[in-house]
Amino acid sequence: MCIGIPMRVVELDGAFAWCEGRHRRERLNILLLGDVLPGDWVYAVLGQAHEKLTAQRVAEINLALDGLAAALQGETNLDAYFPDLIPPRR
Amino acid sequence: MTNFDTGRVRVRLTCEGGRVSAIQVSSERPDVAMLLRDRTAGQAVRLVPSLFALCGQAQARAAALALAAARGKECPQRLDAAVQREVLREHLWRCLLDLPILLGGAALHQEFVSAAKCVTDGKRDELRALLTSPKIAALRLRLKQDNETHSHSPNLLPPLEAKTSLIEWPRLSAEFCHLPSWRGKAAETGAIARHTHGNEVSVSPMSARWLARFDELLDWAMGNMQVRAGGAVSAASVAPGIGRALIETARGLLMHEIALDGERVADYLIAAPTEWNFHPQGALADHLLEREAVDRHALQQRVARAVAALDPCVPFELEWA
Repeated sequence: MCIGIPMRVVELDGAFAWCEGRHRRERLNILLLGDVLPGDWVYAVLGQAHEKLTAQRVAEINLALDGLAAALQGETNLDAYFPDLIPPRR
Repeated sequence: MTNFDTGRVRVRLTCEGGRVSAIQVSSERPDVAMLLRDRTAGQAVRLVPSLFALCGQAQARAAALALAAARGKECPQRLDAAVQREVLREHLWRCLLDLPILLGGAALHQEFVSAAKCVTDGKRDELRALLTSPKIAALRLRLKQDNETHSHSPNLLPPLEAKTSLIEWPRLSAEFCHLPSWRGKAAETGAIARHTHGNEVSVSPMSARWLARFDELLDWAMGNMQVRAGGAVSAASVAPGIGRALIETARGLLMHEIALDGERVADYLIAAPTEWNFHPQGALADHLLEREAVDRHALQQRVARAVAALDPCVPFELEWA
């Protein structure tokens, strides 16, 4: 059960990239992803960039993590973290 | 937005008289399932892939299948191609990037990139050629020649599917998910359990864990995949409104159980492989207890190798009592 953190690539370093997200900076292995550029968002877990993320997915994941953090701190009204994610298209 | 503690496996060693006299292993990870309770079923299933990165396909499939089973649609065991690809990529990462370093060499970056592409593109013959190439064959040979003193043969979790799991565990509980056991004992899950089931382990258990990952990769490359292999999925109805899914992930058995109250999630439980494999009385404790502890650096390396072979899905921290 391997919770991931969205991080933004800030600097490439061979098979690795320095990435930042949720107040942390990490050197991630990017071999699984092929071409990665500074500014790209990636899903980070255990020192590896696991997949590229769109800005919308980053927002969804960060909201889910905020909701989980709130739940772990005992907050009971979590509705704000569940805006039903994607509004229906008109 | 806050920083987020994704948890850890904590290993605490007590050394007396030059030996490891006690070991405490604990898995400290956030209870993600608590976020899923009281949501609508649709919200819960959409949320799962947003929270799990490492085995995202497996977690997403587990949530969807458990929900379908709660609504009465069961799923007999089958291999799921997307979950299987995820399992194989994880095995490649461990075997080609992590293992060579543990054996004192360098990560096989180029081989990893080529092999991962073979899995993505379904090129089995190419993967087979790669895995039997001299560099990788040498890795496997070293594992087979490992002469480290055998610890006890691991107690392996037998192959299970959702329907048969109900006989063992009519319902899951939070206590079980935190400390899962098989018939009262800690048991190990993962490629070694899937691959070895019932056979004697002929090399040290540490090597056997790595060889089992290679074997699953080779099985796929040779088209020999069996339904109980990594990527196996199944789901069963526990009772009306309650469903359970079992998924064989890279690290082993993952179970999701969802209980519905109408369209609301009344309860959600997740039993994950790291809790099986890092059980306080499990394989790691068994491997380390009574080991020589005079050379602390050597012991530290032994712990790191043992943890890597058991492959937790969170970082590990070593403490000395």
